[in-house]
Amino acid sequence: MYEIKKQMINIGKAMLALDLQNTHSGNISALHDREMYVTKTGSMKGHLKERDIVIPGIEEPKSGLFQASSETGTHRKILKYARSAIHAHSLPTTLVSFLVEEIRPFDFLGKRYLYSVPVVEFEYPVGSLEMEEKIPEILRKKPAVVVKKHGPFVRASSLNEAFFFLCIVDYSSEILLHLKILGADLSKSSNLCYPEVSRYKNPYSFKGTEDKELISQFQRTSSDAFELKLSPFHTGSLSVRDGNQMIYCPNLSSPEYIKNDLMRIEIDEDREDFFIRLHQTVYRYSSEKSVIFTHSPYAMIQSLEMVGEGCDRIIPVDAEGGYLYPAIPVVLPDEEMRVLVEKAVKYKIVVLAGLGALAVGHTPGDTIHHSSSLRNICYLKSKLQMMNKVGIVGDVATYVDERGKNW
Amino acid sequence: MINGYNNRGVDVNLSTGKINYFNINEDILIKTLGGRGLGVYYFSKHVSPRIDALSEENALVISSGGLGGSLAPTGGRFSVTFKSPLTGTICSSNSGGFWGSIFKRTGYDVLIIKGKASVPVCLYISEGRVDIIECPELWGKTIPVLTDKLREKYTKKARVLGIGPAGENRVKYASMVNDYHRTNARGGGGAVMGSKNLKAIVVEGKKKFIPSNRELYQAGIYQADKLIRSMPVTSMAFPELGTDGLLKMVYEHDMLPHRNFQDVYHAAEDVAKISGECLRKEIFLSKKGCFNCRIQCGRSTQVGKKKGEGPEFETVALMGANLCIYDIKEIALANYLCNELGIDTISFGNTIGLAMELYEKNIIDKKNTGGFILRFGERGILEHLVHKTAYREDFGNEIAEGALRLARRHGAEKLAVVVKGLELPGYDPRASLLQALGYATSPRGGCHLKGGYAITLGFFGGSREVDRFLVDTTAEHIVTEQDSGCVADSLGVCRFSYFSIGENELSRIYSGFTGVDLSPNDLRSRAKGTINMERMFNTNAGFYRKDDTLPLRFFNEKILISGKMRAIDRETQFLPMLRKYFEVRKWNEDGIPSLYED
Repeated sequence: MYEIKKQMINIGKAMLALDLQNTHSGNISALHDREMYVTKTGSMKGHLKERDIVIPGIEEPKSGLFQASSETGTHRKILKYARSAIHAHSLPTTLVSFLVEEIRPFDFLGKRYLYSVPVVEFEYPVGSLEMEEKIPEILRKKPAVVVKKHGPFVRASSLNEAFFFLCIVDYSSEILLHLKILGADLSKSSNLCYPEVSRYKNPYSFKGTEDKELISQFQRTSSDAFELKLSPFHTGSLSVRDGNQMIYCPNLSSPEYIKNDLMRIEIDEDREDFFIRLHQTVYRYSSEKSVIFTHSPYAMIQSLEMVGEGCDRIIPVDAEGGYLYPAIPVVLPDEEMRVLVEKAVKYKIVVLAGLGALAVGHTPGDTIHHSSSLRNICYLKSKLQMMNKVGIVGDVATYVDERGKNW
Repeated sequence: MINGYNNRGVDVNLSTGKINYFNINEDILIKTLGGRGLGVYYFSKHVSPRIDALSEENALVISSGGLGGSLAPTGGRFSVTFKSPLTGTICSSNSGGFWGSIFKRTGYDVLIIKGKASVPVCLYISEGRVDIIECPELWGKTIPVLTDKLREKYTKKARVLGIGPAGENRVKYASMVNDYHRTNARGGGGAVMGSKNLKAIVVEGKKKFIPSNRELYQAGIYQADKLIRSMPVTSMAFPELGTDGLLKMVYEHDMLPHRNFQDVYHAAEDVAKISGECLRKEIFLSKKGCFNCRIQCGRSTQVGKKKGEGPEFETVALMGANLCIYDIKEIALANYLCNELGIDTISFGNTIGLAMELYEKNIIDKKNTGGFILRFGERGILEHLVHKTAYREDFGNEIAEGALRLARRHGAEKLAVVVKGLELPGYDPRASLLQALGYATSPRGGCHLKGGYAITLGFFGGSREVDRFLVDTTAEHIVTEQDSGCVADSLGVCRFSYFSIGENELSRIYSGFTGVDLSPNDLRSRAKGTINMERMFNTNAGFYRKDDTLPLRFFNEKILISGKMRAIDRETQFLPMLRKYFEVRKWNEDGIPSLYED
């Protein structure tokens, strides 16, 4: 019981860190030893205590119902077939729900893990019987559903996976929302060819190394990737070379209080996993010491918009970005791995349109420097484009350094 | 004339048989809102604080809520105000059921009953008609028989508020019962009715009320409904588990009284035997609700061939947990009998708890108890004791006087768990300073409702949840809770709806219904006025600051609560809270309202 409560406390903390609801709203539930656990109504999700998690009963009502979340009825039905459910008030998702009846992501993570997310409207969009009937039915077939003007519900086989889906919904919504605001031509973006990936895997507590300093470097980088939103929860990957092997973290973006794995993998060993092969390829064909792959949403906005316009590079508009990277190459996601590696080595970072960004360096700290710079560059450029849309700044092209076009 | 009210009252003098109809000034309605506020206003005006509560001079003032006649969720409750024969304080006692709603539809907002009939009588009230009817044949009848007979006499739509043998015998905590099972339980209103030879009040009415501003009224109702239907406490917990569903939670917060409040150390498996979950499994038949109720916390239950309603949480806490009787069926049977004979289960259970402690401490023995072995956990005695109490037979005559008098009689006043003579309900105040201050300052004595229903803040207040061991801010919270409770009592809505809604919704419904634009703050300021009137009555009745206290047990006996040995420290916790309470209420240091306006 203590373990499941601890996990819920950690997920609540992570939800607040990612701004997925206000301080008190949203709710988390999980099944453990045939018992349903749910957060208390009005509890502060970022500061949950054990007593904030109550047992309302799943088959028969229990006294925890008096304190249970307002969406307990819906959670209770979802947990008849899933192990965990989360409801949040993700702002981009709520905004997108005003625009579409179904969220069809253009980005790799959204396409691969969600495919599509239904948006449903209710007369009483909070804690109603109508929701209690419909949402669990939809979630039998889909990992996520969005209540119009309210927010997403997700279900999964574990708390981590539910949070993963929630973050992907938030992430894909943010990308879609911005692309819509920018008026991007998405006809080409919708046909991008993304690699196949396996389903979400819970961390197994793999320990690829005993080196405390190295472990600490990985943890720091993971935590930064999470807090800076360089990649949705448990996405992205990080590795360091260790002779003929690499120490590899497959679920990079993670707060320090939620565990992730470190694996030890032979560089020459054939692996099916796209991301492992990508890291291996870098080490096989370069002398780089560390590799990071992230899915920064603003880099995806920029790259997906670019696909429609036929551009091949992101040229920073800000001084710091321009100083570090006159231009950052953008390639299609099905580009040959060798070409990717060449570009990464040459430019330190390369963006795969809609998929993510590959960065290389000497240490994990060095690589995440590139990823976080990319995030800032793309954030600023996207916001500037929006400012241009509403007419408060001039053409964005006038702010870029011309030299970037020939870099 | 204000829309939504009848603007009419009726004053019945049972001594003379005179019935006086009068108009109610609209200022009075706006100032008091109705229900408790209106009742306290007329009671204070008609009754001198120093009278004997069981004399002819006492009055019963029955008033319908300001939202009575509307479709506000749970808005059919009514109040009865009287001087309590148990405590000597003013006592406003509130009930649900359907009687209150129908009373308002007879065309009166308030009914004042004074004097004493020479023979047992009933009052019959319908639209435009009030009759005093002699009914000696009904004297001695239990509530179900009384109700059946009166409905046979009038119509099946007639609603009956009456007393059982306990009220006739002036049991100090006899209740008034309407619709068979709904009670104005606390303070002994049934004894006051009995002292007036008034057996029942029958109402039949169909008057309809049209809201003044339909849009505002409906917006308020829509929002209130939405919240009540969405918050699990009102949409699932109470409907599925009834009020007894609270038991486990109260136990888990180390608040559930045990052995006459000596401690809170129950075994979890014992609590499970009397919990709401157990009730649902063992004796539950169906849900029951009051007028226009979306919550449906009532339980229709059956034990063997006997059917009834309840038991409610407080009954299970006081007549079960507090006495170490962990048998839901035994408690339910005793509860059925309390409802039939007209006895408040809280005061009864608490007084039996005291008797058991006296017995175990060898202060009384079998000679005093008429042969009863009164050990904690003693089985098979509850029903007998209820019966003996209602008819004041043997030891029942002592039990009928309540815990304070029983304790005094045996020189053990400090063992009585009462405040101002009213027996405490099912929450040990050592586990919540909020509740402690609420008990001490409640106008009718040790009551969780009039004292501010602090457990809602203590552990299921949602984002409003307050640390129950804080000292500094407790007074502010308790004043707010007491004021809100008074708003609910005055408008005639159920406290349980307050778990989901509040003055924001109610002010809209009220303004839309009556056409009188009152903000949430306006509602609360009316409630403050009513609480000030109650306080003034009590002051004039001889209650002073020294009476705003708790039983010594809670100051002197430390018990393990939330991992710490705790009692309430009088000097560093209780008195500072009380001083702050007076300050927040704008009362002087003796606890007298300095801004009191008549």
